[in-house]
Amino acid sequence: MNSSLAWFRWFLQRITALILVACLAIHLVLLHFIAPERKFHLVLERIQGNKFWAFFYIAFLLAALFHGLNGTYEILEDYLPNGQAGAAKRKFTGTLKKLTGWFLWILGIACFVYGMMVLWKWTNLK
Amino acid sequence: MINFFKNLADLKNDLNLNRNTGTFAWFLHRVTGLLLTFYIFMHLVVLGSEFWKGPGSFNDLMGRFEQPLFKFLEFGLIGVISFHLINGLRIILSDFLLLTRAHKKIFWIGAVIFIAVMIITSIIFFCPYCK
Repeated sequence: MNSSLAWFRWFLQRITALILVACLAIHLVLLHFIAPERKFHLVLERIQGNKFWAFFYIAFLLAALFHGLNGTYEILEDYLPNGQAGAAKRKFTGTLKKLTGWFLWILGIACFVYGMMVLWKWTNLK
Repeated sequence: MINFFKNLADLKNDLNLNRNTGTFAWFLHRVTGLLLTFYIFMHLVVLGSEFWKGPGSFNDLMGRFEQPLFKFLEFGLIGVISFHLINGLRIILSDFLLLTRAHKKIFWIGAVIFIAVMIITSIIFFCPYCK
């Protein structure tokens, strides 16, 4: 792992954590206190044509996916074979880590696109 | 694969050898983190697909979530989120504000906040007279 990239991931993990604290506070207070009734038309009234909520959900989803998948990678990295014996094993571990990373990126991007499609279908943003 | 299980065995050993607040918090942070990541996917796929289909299926699903079983699961979710959030703030405080030396004290302050949050949540969730 490139050390400046590792630092950037460490930093982004904390920044997304702070974004998530703010978003989760809004999300939970809204859906448990202010508007606890979970009906389709109520959600639609709130988000339709509303740029704030569109921006809110984009930021929320991006932060949550990055934070969750980066955290998962961080954990997997510790329990993947660490191949300390020999260059061949080290290379194998490197490949395994890269594959894991790519898999998580594809999963994250797919989830983000899916979320955006659902949001786009009903928000009718101009 | 063998290496993977050996690494997990090492984890058990590490936890046994370092019975400190920090190890305990580190372990729980990872477990709750994995649970929450799994939850995000369920949340996105299940709610997203029903919301995509429209009012009928979304309201049906939300109706089913009113059952007691889901109320308890939701209560557990609040617990998992609260722990991860409060402990995460402790990590950020230690990292960014150079409070590493006070991290154990912050953990116990966080524990008190966690218990307070859970008491308030259980009142909101399960007290029929408080509405």
